[in-house]
Amino acid sequence: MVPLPYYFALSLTLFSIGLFGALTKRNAITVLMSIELMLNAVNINLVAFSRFITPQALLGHLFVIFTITVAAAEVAVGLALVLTLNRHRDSVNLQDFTWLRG
Amino acid sequence: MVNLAWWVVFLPLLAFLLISLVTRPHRKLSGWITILAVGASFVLSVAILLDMLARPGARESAWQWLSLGPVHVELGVLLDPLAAIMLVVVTLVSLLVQIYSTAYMGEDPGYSRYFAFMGLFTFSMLGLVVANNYLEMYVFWELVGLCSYLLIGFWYEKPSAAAAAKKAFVVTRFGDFGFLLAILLLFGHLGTFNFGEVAQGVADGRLPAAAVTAAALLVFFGAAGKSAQFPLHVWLPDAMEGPTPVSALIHAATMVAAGVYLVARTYGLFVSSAASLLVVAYIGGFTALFAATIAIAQSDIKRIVAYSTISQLGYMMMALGAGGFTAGVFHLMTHAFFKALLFLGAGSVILMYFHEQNIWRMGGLYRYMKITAITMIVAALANAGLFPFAGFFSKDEILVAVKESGHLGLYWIGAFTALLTAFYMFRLVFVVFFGPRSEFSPSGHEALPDIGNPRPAQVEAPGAGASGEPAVSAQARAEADKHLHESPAVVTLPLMILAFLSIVAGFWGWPGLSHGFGSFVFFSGAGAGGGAAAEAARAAHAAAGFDWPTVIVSNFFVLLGLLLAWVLYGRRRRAADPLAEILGPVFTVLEHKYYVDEFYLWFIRHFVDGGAAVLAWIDANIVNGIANGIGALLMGIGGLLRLFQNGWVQRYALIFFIAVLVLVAVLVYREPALTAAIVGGAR
Repeated sequence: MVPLPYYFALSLTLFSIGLFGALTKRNAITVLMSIELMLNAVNINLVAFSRFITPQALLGHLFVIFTITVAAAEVAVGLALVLTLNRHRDSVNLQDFTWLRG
Repeated sequence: MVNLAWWVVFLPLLAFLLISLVTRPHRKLSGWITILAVGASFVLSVAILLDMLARPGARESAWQWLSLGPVHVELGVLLDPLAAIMLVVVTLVSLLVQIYSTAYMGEDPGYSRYFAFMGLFTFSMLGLVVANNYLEMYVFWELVGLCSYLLIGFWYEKPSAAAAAKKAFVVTRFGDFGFLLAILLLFGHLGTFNFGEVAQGVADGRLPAAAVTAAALLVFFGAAGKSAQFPLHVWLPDAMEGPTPVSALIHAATMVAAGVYLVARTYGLFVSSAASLLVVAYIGGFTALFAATIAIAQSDIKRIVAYSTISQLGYMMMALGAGGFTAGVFHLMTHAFFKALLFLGAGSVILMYFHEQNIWRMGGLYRYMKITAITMIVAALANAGLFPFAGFFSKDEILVAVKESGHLGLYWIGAFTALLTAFYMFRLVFVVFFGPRSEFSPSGHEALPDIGNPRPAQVEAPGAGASGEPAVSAQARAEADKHLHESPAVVTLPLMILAFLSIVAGFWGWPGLSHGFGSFVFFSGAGAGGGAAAEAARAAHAAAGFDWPTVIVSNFFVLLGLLLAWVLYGRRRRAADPLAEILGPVFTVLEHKYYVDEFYLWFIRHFVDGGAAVLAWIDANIVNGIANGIGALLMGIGGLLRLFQNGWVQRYALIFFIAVLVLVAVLVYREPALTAAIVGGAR
């Protein structure tokens, strides 16, 4: 069985890629995708912990299913927002949307 | 009888309320309401006085007004011979002035307002007279000040009148502050406002000597403000801006009498402190001389009389300061009659003489206004203090009191002031009522240069010959003469009543009289001026009759002054005031009232305004600086914080991420056990 730290490494790598994408990419869709990456990194963690700490109960899996559901809803809302923004401003560049600047 | 006093006080207030709330549009009715109310007050006051004469003694009635913890304030009435006399004087003078006003103010659009204020003024003064404690007196004291403000500034559309009203209010307020401090000082030590209890406390020595002196001097400071004693006298001549009957009321019975009355009422304080008596006596004596010297150089008929008032008030203060309580109060009474007469007479002249107040534009008016002229001469004689007019008896009482107190310097000041008094009074009489008419006439009014007080240098003014020959044509003169006539009966009747009183009022104080004024009004408290020893001295004094040296000295000085006035003004008409040539630069100084007003102005400009400028700078730069600085600081912080709010979602996310890292780092560092548990759990 693959030891736990390997899962951590994978999860950390995925999360970092996602974080990097979410913080640096200009394209709103890319950012949404990066957020999906981060969520999935967390999912891997949850499943790995579940396997190693409570092998009898499916606690981690339960959380993962919740996360996937919420992520799907989030993508739906997010893409709808991106579409609307694109219709209004003809752009999906996040740097064009700084209307709430103080 | 004490209950009657409430009515005496409140009837004029009722008139004021009725006029201001109901009858203001009805002019005639408003006037009669006040006259009726004050008339009723007068009748009741006479009843009180008669009762007091039959059964002398102090009677007091009061009810609790305020009770705040240990502070009990009463609203009460204190009747004693002093108050009874004052009630009659105030209501009588006020009544006569108001009858007179129906003619004098007849055409004024503010007729109803005038009578409403007159009612309020009389009410305030009467309340002050009957007050039985310091705080109540202070309330009425301020009301009197307010009323004088309202009446001096009655013609408020005139800038000079508005300014004079403000000046009177501010200057007297200045003195009032002293009075207030005195009240607080006495209350702090004795815990009571009541006149009798304070006097008792002071007599019992429950107050340190220094506090007594301080309280007495502060009270006197307040009295000096109201009674126009040097150096707070500057408001009174300016108060001439008000209607002339108002001047009569202010100068005779109300306002200025309040100061002397206050000193008389709180005399217990003064007799317990020799130093304060000395200050009162010397300020009074100095003011008497000071104002009399100014009066000889004035050219406005009302101002001459106004300075005469200041001078006479100085006499009263001097008497009180020298221990002559009876003499001071007696002079207060006789002075009320002849000073009201002088002002009403002057008003009669002004009314008939086309509202001219410069005596150098009058002359020969005796032919046209005999009643006014004769009553004015009576008043002048009474004011000068010639036997047997009222002023003689009271002034001689004062001089005798001063002499007996041992202040010989003051005695001679008083005697010399008598000379000056006779001189300036008859200067006025001779110039206004005798000699040829001056060049002034209403039709030639514009043609004449505004000469003010004619000086030798100005004699060559166009239209006036070197010898003061009439410059206006005979036709204009005849035109003017047609308009000159005696004032109506409502004006002359009060004049005649007051003239009668100015002649006979003094006889009540005939020395040696068994039931004279001195056996009715006297100071009976303990201290230097009262007590058994003083009682005996007073009895001896009353029995002794005339103090012949004083009688001779004062009458000699009065006759000398009269003669001087006749030599300078009585023989023939001069183009200019001959006194100006004789006195030279001194005359200029006197004419400008010793430049006291100018000095105050200079002082205010340079010191008060300078101090104000410093404070304004502190306010603008330090106080405002602190307030603005707080605002600027917050705005700076806001400016810094708004850099974070750049609307860039990814920046927010980055900050959020960094913050999470920091939190985790802190957690690991601060809570190693918890971290170990979490990490351990993962294993």
